[in-house]
Amino acid sequence: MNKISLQYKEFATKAIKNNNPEDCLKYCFKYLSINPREKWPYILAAQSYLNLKMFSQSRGCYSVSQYLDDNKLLYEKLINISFIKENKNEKNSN
Amino acid sequence: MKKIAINIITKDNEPYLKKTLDCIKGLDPEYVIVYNGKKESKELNICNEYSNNVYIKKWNQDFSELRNFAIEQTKSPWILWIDSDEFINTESIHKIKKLINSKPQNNYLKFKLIQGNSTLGQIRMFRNIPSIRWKFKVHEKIIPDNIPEYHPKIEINHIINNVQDSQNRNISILKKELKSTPNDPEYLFYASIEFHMIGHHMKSLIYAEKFLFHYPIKEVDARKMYIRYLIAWIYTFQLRNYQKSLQIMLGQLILNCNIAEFWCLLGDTYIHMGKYDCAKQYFHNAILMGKYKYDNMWITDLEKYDQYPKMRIEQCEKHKNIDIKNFEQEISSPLIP
Repeated sequence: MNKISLQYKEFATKAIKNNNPEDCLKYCFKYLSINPREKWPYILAAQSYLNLKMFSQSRGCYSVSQYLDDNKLLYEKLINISFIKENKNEKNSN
Repeated sequence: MKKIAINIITKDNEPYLKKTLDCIKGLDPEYVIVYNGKKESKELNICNEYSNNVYIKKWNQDFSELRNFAIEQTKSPWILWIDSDEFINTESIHKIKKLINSKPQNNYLKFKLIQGNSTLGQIRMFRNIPSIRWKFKVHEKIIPDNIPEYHPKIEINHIINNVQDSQNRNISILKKELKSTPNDPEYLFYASIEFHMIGHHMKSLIYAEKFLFHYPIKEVDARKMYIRYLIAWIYTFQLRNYQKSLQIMLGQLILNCNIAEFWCLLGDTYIHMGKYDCAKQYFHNAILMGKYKYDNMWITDLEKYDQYPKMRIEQCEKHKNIDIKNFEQEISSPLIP
């Protein structure tokens, strides 16, 4: 991971820790316009989308992380968790 | 009284009209046909074979006028509107019959319109009541006062024909309307699309920017997304202003990363910039994320969305070490919004 990547990752991580998923997404996607082949922007973006209850978008991001990673099973689990959270969210709103 | 009426307006669609009128026979409908062509024609004869309710109306460059006239001649409690170059398959006809018999509560019923590679949910059936009428002279629509009920398994197929004539006609009407109401977002939206489709990209861009300025809805909205995508497309393929295009697309992707076309446009932009590895990943993203998209925010058919990015990945592989000029000759048909 190079210096720019580390910097963006730091900003994105700080944003999500400060409960600011929108800012986190901005850093993730800005970095994706430089290098779309690293996993961390997709993982952090997925977490941000989950916080924003944008479940379908989170699954999209996890599926790209899965493609870029050898550990495919982990992302299957994360995608399933996203479905579970979505169902829970729908039940709570009804 | 019949349970359902068909409203059709027709002119110069004689090759398809019989097929259209035949496909809906199974509904045993009240046919209400408004014809605005020549007084003696094969087309008019075909209309008269199917219905006694054929009305010859003068064309005043106003589609809503003709459609509302059709409504006013209709007696049945439900109206299904169809164009004379569309057809409904037998399976969908059965589903419509079942739907009518189920006595729907909603006044507005949406079906799936299939047009080439695009699909779109559109209000096709509505209750015949005085409050429901068509609006706008071109790209006319029914504006519902509640959320319509969507039946995506009922499909209407649109045959794409006479495209140039339709485009010229629509542009003529839009220009006229925009002279009197220059800031009407409805007409600005369609003007930007129609000018784009005939290759007048600078005009398209002007109308697109005006639309975004005057559109009253502040939240994320399918129309705003589509126009921003169109603007970004023009910046990439026509103006070669890649930074501007990227700026717009990044904003769009944050809002909805599951739309395959957005990643494809990013990919095409990076091809133009000579960055094939990045481009390939964006096309992979289009395939991976595209399968998770919400159906109602975009018009791509979920079954075909991955064809374009797969083609581009193959081209990137083939041209890895080749100059962009040679590549450009091969990518002469970018995905047009």
